[in-house]
Amino acid sequence: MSKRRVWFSWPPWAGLLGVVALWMVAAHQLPDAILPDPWVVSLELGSILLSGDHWANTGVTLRNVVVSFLLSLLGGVALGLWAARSPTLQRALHPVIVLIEAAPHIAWLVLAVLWLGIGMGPPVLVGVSMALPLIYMATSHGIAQIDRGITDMARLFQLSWYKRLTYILLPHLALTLAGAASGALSVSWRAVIMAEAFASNAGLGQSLWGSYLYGQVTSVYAQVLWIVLLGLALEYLLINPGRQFIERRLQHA
Amino acid sequence: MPDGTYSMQPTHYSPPRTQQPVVVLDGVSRIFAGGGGLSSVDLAVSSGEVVGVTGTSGCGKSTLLRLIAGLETASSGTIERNYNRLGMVFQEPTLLPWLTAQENVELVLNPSERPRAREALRRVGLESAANQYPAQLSGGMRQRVGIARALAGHPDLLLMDEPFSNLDYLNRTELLELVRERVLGAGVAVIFVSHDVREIVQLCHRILVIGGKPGRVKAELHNPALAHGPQRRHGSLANLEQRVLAAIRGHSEARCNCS
Repeated sequence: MSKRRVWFSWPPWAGLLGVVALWMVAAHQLPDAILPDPWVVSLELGSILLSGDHWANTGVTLRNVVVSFLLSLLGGVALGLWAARSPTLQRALHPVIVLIEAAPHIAWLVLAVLWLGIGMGPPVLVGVSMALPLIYMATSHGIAQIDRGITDMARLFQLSWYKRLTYILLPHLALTLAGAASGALSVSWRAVIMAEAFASNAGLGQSLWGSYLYGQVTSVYAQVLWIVLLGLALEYLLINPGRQFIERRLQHA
Repeated sequence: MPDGTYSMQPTHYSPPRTQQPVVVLDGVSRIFAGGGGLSSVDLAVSSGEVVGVTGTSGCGKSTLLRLIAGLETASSGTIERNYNRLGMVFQEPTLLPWLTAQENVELVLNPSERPRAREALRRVGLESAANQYPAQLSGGMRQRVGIARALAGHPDLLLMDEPFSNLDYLNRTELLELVRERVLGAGVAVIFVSHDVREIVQLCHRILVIGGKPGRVKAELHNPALAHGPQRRHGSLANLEQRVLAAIRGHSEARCNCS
């Protein structure tokens, strides 16, 4: 699908407008303390954004998400490549990855606070615990899908590890990883904000939880709206263009 | 050693026996679970010699090439490798789809050897398609790129594993001609595996017939016909083809359980 079609096709916008319309209808039926009007929430968001604090919190959260995503990406790919060298290692790593994946966010959060204290550590660790297994699985799956003839060719012609990595492994992995990275970024985003609420001095999650504790319902909705908008921006400004770029590069595959 | 039933004396078209062989297999076996594989293969191939390997499906022809290439490890026996460089044409072209034809050839070369890629593509008649991607090439053209890649490194030993088996008749005929005219006879030792007896007798100085489970060399035939002019050659090749087929059939009827 072309870039133009992604941006200007109407169904995504119709879906979003439908949600806003439902919100407006529901807001008229419910008290403001439960569901304020979207217009009021938008005004609140505007005033929040005009204050410097919210931008600082946004910066903290984005930093935490980027750090946890990059650590997951590097760690997951490195583990996947390492495990691919030996079926025994792969079998040994599998239950560890499943164990990491199976533990709920809150379990990781409590452990992270115990280990690292309050601050940047817990959100990043919780983000990594959720995103790394996705990247690792995608890497392992991608490597398993490489044609045996290609690996035989690489062995026979004694290709260097650098050539194997850059010409065979990474291009093969790129498409699988592009999908997994999209999921990993999304998971990191949610996990980091959740962890910030309970285990950080700053960030969007901490700010949101603070507003809730002080009973600032309109502010809570405004911040949720901001988090959702940022999530959409991440998806459509970063992940989708990145995936399209990779697909264009590998269009002949 | 082969049965010898079909053995003929080597002709002057076979490479001189005094020359050190580029590869020597001595009692090499590779047995897979289920009993397939190869058993007790002895083989020596010298520079310039083209050795054909044929037999029923699943009797170990490709395993033989994989053993020589180092892609499989022998269960027993020794393989003496006296070549500097090895090339291989696979049954599938095994090209990387995100690289052009030229880049696929360059991939197996050192940086200083890269100009050879263009030369190798010219040798297989693909210079004009050098910048095209595999998806833009026909099956025959892709296999030509595979041949160019195998030749570009100037190998001492070239392994060809049923390189034409997935091609249509026209492409197969064209590539057979190309290999005969531009690949063989350049001093390179070639081991050519095919189930197509006609291809084998048209290209090879010496033909091994493998059969059984695990596969063994059941017959070794020499092919003096390659030296004759087209008139005499035709009759000789037809005769040899019948004898190779008889060797395969005789074995497959009597002893081979291969599918």
